[in-house]
Amino acid sequence: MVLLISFIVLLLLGVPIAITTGLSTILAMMDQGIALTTAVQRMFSGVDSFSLMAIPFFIFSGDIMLKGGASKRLIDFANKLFGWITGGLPITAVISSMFFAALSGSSPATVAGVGGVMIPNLVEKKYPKKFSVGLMCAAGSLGIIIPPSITMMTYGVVSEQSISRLFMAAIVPGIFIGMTLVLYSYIYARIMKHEKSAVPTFREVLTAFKSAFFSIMMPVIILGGIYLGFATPTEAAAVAIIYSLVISLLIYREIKPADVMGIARKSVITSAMIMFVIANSKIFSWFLTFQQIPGKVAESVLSLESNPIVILLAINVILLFVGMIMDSSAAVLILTPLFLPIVMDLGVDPIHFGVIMIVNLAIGMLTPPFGLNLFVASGISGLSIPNVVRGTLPFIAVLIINLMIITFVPQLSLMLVK
Amino acid sequence: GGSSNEPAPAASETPAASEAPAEAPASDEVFELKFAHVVRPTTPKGAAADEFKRLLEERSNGRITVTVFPDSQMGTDQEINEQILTGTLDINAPFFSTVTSFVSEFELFDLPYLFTSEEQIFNALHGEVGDKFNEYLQEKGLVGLGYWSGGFKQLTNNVRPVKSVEDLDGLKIRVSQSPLLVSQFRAINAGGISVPFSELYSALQTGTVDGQENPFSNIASRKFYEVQDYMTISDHGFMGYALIMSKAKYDAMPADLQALLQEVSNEVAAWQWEQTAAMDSEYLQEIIDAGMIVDEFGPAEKEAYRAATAVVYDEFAAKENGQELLDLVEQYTR
Amino acid sequence: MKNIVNLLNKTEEVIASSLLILTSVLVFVQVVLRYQFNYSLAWSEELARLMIAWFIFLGASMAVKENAHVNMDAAFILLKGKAKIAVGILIDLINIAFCALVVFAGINMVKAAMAINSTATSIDLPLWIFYASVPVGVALMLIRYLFKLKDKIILLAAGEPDAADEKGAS
Ligand code: NA
Ligand code: NA
Repeated sequence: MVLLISFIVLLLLGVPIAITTGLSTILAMMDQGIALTTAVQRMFSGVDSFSLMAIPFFIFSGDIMLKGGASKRLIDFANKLFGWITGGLPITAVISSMFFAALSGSSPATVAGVGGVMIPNLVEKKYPKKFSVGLMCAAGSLGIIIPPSITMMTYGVVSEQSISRLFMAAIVPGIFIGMTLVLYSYIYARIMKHEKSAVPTFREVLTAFKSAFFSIMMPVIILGGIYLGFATPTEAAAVAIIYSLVISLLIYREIKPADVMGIARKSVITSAMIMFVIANSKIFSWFLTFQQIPGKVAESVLSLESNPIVILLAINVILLFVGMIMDSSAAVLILTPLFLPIVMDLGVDPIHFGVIMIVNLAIGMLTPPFGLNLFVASGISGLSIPNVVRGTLPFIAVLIINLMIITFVPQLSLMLVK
Repeated sequence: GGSSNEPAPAASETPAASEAPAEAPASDEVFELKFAHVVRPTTPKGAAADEFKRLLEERSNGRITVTVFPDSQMGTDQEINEQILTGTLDINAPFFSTVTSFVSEFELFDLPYLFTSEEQIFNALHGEVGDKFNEYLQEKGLVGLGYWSGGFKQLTNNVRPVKSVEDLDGLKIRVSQSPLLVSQFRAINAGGISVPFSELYSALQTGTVDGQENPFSNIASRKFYEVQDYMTISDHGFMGYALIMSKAKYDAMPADLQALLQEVSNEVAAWQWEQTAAMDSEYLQEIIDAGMIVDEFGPAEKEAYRAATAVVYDEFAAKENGQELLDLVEQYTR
Repeated sequence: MKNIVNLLNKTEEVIASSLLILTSVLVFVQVVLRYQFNYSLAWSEELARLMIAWFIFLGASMAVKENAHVNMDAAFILLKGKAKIAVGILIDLINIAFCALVVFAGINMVKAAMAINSTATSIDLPLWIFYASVPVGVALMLIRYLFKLKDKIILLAAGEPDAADEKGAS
């Protein structure tokens, strides 16, 4: 109760979201007589993770590419290739996110990696900032859906299902969601009568390709590095930094060594803002688990119903809600043991349920109050949180329609598995 | 949820009176123990935590309740241990390596072929070697209630069948972050590379590392067999867990409940070792069924491995209490 | 006083930015060593995590200065003049209270790690050096919020509504 009231009051007052989360949990812990050192430990632990390191790394490489001229060239190339198609640029952004998701195991890292380059570009081409940011938040959620996915691996271990099969199962739903976003972008651009560029000649494409060659090599190196096994995703992010520094300093020469500190400073602030939210949400997640709250809520809601469709819908609602307020891996750890036996009784395949769970939690990443994607997008675009939220609303609707299809059409998840 | 007990004040009410039998045990006082660990409840360790809860609650006639938080819900081993020391949680069964941050002597168990049978280890850990470690734990504010087994560690990789030490030459084997493990695998030119456990599956799948070392239980439950072709039953190391409890909480309990804790801990330890042994054969079958090609080190290969990695014994002997512990171990391995 | 603040700003920025660059280089070197030489620095992952923790919590303080910490400012933007400054002061006080609690608990956590002498697993450094990143970074945040509070109080006392609309939003 202390938690809920202080959270709402602080949030509405306009206290930073990180501090709202941290302080309201700390007050609840004091109320329960729990040592506050645990709160500090959770904050530290939220930042102290090799996998999360990918977030500051991709933000840094994105900033270098932006300042160093690599992004501009990449974008010119993409514009030449796709700019003549209706919605070509946002479609490029979605497809880039799908590729990026295929190398990163996390959604915020995907938003940071692609959004850092694509948001400025979309805005430059007269797409509204809210639309651009909302699109990147939604496409970024593919980060945990399209394999590899840390959250999916956690589900595999807890549910004792094959991780490879789970990864396989998520591919088609991931692509399906990507395609609906492509469709949305197309319709949006069509209705808005967004201007298109002329169909490029082969020579123009070739010139843009030549000019962008070293920038194009960047995703090639990252994707190749991970798939050929040279580097883990976090390491690939570090390789991306060094590579983008080298091309910016030595090939494009748009920045000087002295500029690197300034770029790093900007990246530090953006990533610190995001990681500080994560740090504080860790205290919150820990406290909810310690009080066994998610389990109790889920149990009491599910004890009310027996109709299979209603139960599945109720589970989706609980998962969406938990995804709004908790870290996705923590949610998987706590809720899988609770839900899995119930849905298996209803005849739901545990692999299919894994996909349902991941899609739910992925949507949670762009819903307030805790939507990591929102914070990343706000950090890299400079748009305020309420505006980012407004921008994502139509995309949340699209994703929820996707969720319903994925929930009630199991074939989508199981076609590659069986 | 209300908290009828608050660890810190409860502890200060009975200052270090653990030795004296409590004259008037507050029989109506209920002790809520919070047991957090990092594995699935279906593993032998997770099942033992539940068994510990069952026996304690049953035999204390409701004077003790145990809440188990499995699956790293409360954090990593290291973080749970810290929460125990601050009185937020009470019990954990951490992997030895994760206790080394404050009892560095636990590195002992990273030595290759220190023990050659589970019986040796059980006797050592529930004999003088265990007593020694209980002393070290006590100094840090923890009570050692017993020792659990995760089984012997095996080698898996994706490059070739490993039938001898030489076959490991040039492989990139992932190890946990222990310095002694890294030295051990470097000594045989097999990488000794550290990748976080959470990223290990992907790293094995993409070939970032060639192989890893873990007991059957981890190879099976983490599905490493999906992304690895070869396994060698090498038994080259032992994975053990220390059942630890907050000393402040322990001291706050009346003597009869302390005795019950010990009794249940002993029983559960014996049960847990049996479970691990039994489950190991099931896990091995699961691994074979998954299509891994399995080889086994014979006595000669084990001897060769130990000789090739002798340098880590010297490294350990040079550490504080190192030689003393090696001498203590010897009487159990002769 | 101004000089001390400037020095603080500069030091904080240089340390945090350098740590980000160094961490990237360290992780990059690790990839090269493993791929090219089948060699791994046993301590690189832990060192990288140490450096990240420090630049994040130092960065959290820099983010206070830059007003980069995101919030729901819907109610706030509706306010005008003195009321806006008053709410701004209230928010600063709440932030200061949070920082004070975290610094206090953080010092206890550092002390506890010192008391049991815990060290990192693969790098021979005491763990309190890792943990100290939280109280140090948040203490710097606290200082920044104190300065913001001071500015707003002066503004409120001066009672210039025009200036208030500009500055009160921070
Ligand atoms: Na992914
Ligand atoms: Na959310």
